[in-house]
Amino acid sequence: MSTLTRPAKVATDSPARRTSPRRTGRRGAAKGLLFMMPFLIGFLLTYVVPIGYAFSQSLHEKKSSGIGFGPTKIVYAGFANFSAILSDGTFWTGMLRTLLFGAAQITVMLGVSLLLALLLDGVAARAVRFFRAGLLIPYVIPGVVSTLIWLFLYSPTASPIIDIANRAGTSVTFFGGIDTYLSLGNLLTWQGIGFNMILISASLQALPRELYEAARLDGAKEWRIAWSIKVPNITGILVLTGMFSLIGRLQLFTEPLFLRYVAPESISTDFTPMLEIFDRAFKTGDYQYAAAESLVLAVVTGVLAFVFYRVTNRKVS
Amino acid sequence: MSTIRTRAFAGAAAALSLSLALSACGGGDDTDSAAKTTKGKVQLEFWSWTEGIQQQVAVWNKEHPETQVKYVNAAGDTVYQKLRAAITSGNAPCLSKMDGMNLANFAADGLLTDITKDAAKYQDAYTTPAWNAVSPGGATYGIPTGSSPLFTAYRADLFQKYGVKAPTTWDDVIAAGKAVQKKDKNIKIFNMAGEDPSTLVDLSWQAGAQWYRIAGDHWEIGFTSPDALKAGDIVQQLVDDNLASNASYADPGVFKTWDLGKTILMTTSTWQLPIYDTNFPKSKGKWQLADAPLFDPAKPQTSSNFDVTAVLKGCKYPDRAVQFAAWLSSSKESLTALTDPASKSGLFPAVKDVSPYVDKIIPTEMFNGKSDSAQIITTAASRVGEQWQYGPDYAAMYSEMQKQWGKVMKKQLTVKEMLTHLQDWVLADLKNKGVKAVAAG
Repeated sequence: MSTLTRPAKVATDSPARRTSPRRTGRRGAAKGLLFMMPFLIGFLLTYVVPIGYAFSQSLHEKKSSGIGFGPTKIVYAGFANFSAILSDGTFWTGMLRTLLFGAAQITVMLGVSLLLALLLDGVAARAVRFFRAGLLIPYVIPGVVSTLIWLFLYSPTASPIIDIANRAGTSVTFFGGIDTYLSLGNLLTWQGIGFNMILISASLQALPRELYEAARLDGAKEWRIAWSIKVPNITGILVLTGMFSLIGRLQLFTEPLFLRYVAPESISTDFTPMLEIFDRAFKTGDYQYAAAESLVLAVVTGVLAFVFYRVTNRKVS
Repeated sequence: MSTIRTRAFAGAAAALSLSLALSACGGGDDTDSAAKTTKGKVQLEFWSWTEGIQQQVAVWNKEHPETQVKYVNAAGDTVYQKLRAAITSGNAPCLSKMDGMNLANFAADGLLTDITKDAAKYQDAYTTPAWNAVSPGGATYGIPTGSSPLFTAYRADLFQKYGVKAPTTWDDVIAAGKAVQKKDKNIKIFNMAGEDPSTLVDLSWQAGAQWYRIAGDHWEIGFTSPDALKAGDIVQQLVDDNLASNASYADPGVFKTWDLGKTILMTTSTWQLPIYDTNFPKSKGKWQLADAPLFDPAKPQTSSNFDVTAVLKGCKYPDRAVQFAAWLSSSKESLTALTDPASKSGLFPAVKDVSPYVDKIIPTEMFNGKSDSAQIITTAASRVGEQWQYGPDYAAMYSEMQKQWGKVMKKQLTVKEMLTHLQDWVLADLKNKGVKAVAAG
């Protein structure tokens, strides 16, 4: 195609037109900029400016004098906040806890999503639509609402599950030790399965059917097709959903914040980095340190997402 | 729209009052804390979330045309964040409801107005601990609104069933807890919520401890003083012997713990009285009140939280603001209305003489009538320890304590270890903020 059109283009190029590309280029750039304005303005106002403000805050600290009541001064502190964060045990413990928990929970969630997507790929179209919609419902429910639903189920004083177990003569607990992570993981998995399944399912449908046909001619059974043809061909989407989930986990906030209502001993105010930042900024009013913590979290998230992407992508190719 | 209009009105009022003030003292805006008298008509904004206050504001406005108060219902979890933001952006209200801890926190961040001189003439009406709560570090930043002196409520029916007597001291509580568990090991004497170290604050207050004590130009920090450790030891025994349940106060089903008789005693206060009905439907009429457990019967002390009305930074007419706040929480007219159960305020006065207001607030059908509930509440109000002080980093300390408190409840940390950590943490934090502090000797 391109080889056919190229000579024609050259032929219509008149000398008069040839002098103008710089002008049209500039006009084009101006036009392009005009089209980009809505994005640029939004991007500047909602990303660049707040991040810049947070950065400038993070370089300051609040100083009192005398007995500590009365006017305070915000003074330039250089990187004092950042060096304090580097040796802040609670912050990094929260980070590590979130990462380890996330690694386990995301693996389970994506595994279940993949399994469901593969199953759906094998059944009749009408059933597919029904199941797909059904499994998507938890994702459609706002996070706060679904957390509240589970909060009532987990509550040590109000849970019907605990009540039934007690009547049956046994006892169940949802918090303390590993239980805390299982309960939180169950909630997050319940929320995330549907959405991830839809993404995986969509990329499964995009695979050329000829591949299956060829495999069947070679005598492969359905499960063999799934494992050897389908899965290797959708690693791209698995990496992508994995990365999104990882970023989401590092910003884990709402779910533990609410579950803390019923399990304060098990979910501390520094359970995740976001909870710690929230507590710093809004409970104790230390905005400067909280801003520095936010930036460190953003950098860690960025680096991890990059590394994850590179490592998994290399494995794919 | 309405806020713009009121602001324009407030601006006009300010201009008017300024022109009047100019002729009087020829002054601009001096920043010293000398009491200045505002003349002319002014309008003040007041944020609160106590039921029934709005009606009192209306009464005030009718009687005081020269000081009109605009009530804003600021109910919500984020009110302190909103206040901080409003002060930073320069459109904060003149007055706001707060608790003692946040008043100290706001004062430490320089977000309040020093009203020591304007407020001095109202001090006599209030109890000493109430006045302490609005005067962290010695300067006054607000007017006390209400108090919640601590006393005990227990399930009289179950105490009888398990053969224990109402405890007088904390040691009695421990002994009763053990006696009850000999009869039924699932029954707890007390509850300590994993998110809420206020139990330790109350016990320390009652034991006469001083976590923060001002000594001239510096603070003395005493988390590990003998009195503080005495209070910590009671918590430790409750934990070690499994005498307390751990229902979170944020748990939607928390009140079932007592209503179903799993936990049989609690320390409680006046603000809870109006909600007994809803919270304890099954145990109605089975409760009895008693004085809060003591450490030293020779020196009976209890603790209290205080509701305060703080004067925020940027308030142009602190004298009028103080006048209104004092009327709201000390005039017979206002207190009679606010302590009426019909107002639903749950407010208990912070004034010295509470006798005219006690009887009405007691939900008689809740109690079995065997204790003199009014007497117990009056006693509690009169024996709130006067030594407790809020330090400049109290809120940050509390947040640090919250993190460790959960571990104490799970037996991963002892109370003494936590207090030792807090002692070091507070000294380091204050030093870092540029505040002078030493360990209490």
